[in-house]
Amino acid sequence: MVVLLETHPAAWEAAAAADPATCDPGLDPASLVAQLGAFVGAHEMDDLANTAAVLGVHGGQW
Amino acid sequence: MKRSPPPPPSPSHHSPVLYLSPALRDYDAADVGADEPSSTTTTVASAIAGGIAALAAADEGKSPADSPPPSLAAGLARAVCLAARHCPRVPADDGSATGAAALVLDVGDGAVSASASSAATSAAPLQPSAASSKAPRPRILVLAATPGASDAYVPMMNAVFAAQRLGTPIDACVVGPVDAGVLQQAAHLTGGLYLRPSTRAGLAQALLTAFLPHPRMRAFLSAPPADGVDLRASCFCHWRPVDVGHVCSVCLSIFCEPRPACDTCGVLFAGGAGGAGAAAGEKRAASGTPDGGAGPAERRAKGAGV
Repeated sequence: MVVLLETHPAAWEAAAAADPATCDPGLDPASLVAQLGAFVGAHEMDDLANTAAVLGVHGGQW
Repeated sequence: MKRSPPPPPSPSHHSPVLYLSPALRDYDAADVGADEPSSTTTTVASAIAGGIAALAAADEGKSPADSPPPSLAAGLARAVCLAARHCPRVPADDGSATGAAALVLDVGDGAVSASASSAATSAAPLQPSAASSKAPRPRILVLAATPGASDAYVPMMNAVFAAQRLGTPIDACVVGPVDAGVLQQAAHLTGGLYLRPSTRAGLAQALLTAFLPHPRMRAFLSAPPADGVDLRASCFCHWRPVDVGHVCSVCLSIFCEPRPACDTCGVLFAGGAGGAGAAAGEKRAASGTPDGGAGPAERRAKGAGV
């Protein structure tokens, strides 16, 4: 599994923004990374042959 | 006058690798069949956090305005390359190539699939049904928060079509406040799953329940309901999603308003700006290939637009 994680400052801001409509407080970067780490670790532990790569999507152009 | 070479791009502007499984780290060193100890969740999270900290250090001193927008298309292209490199597909049609070495990094069935396919390859050509059931099935998960830069629509869709060709499903989990239309299309076209959790408090739960099961198991699971897919294509002139557009009959470029010539391929439309749509429509009807092999988004815009 290849995981693409947006690491751009704009992405952190969007993820951390609270949503008053659903009373969602938003996600801080540390929590997001911890939960993603739990997911990737669970994927690897699910099967010894499971592999994962996490790529950051930071910014730039073609 | 001697021209100086362009400066190398800053590493922070790439799609850096934040974490690799131990088996992938040793992939080039040969013995990829050996079992590597799995990483713990703490190790994975700390590796990702370390990579992000390095990115932040590289960007130190820059204002947010100096930082280019997220390049999801470039990251997706790299992910497709990574999936194709580490988990190449077994030849399903002709069976001419050997796929034994390709299967050692199977994300699904692992060594069992590798040994079975190796024996089948040496004895007889792979049967399509057997090959498809035992082939590695790499997948891509995009964890995004922004809707994505619309000016990268074309390279993004090119990467999506490459993934579709490889049989690699693209899953998308959006943790931002708005849906990402291009990721909806990516998941729709590749057979992946698109999800924007209603609450982000339990993101890990959403990831584990929706995206952890293997694609082969998803047929037996009830996926979270989707609100629908935004299949609109973006115009090539302003990169805005369009409901009705004008399509060049030569290169299939999409424009939101009529124009005398195609900006992409330069072909002149008969009748000037006002007749651009009609000219394109006539050419398309004469060609007899209304779909022309374009993707669904292009087909929709083409069918509705002229």
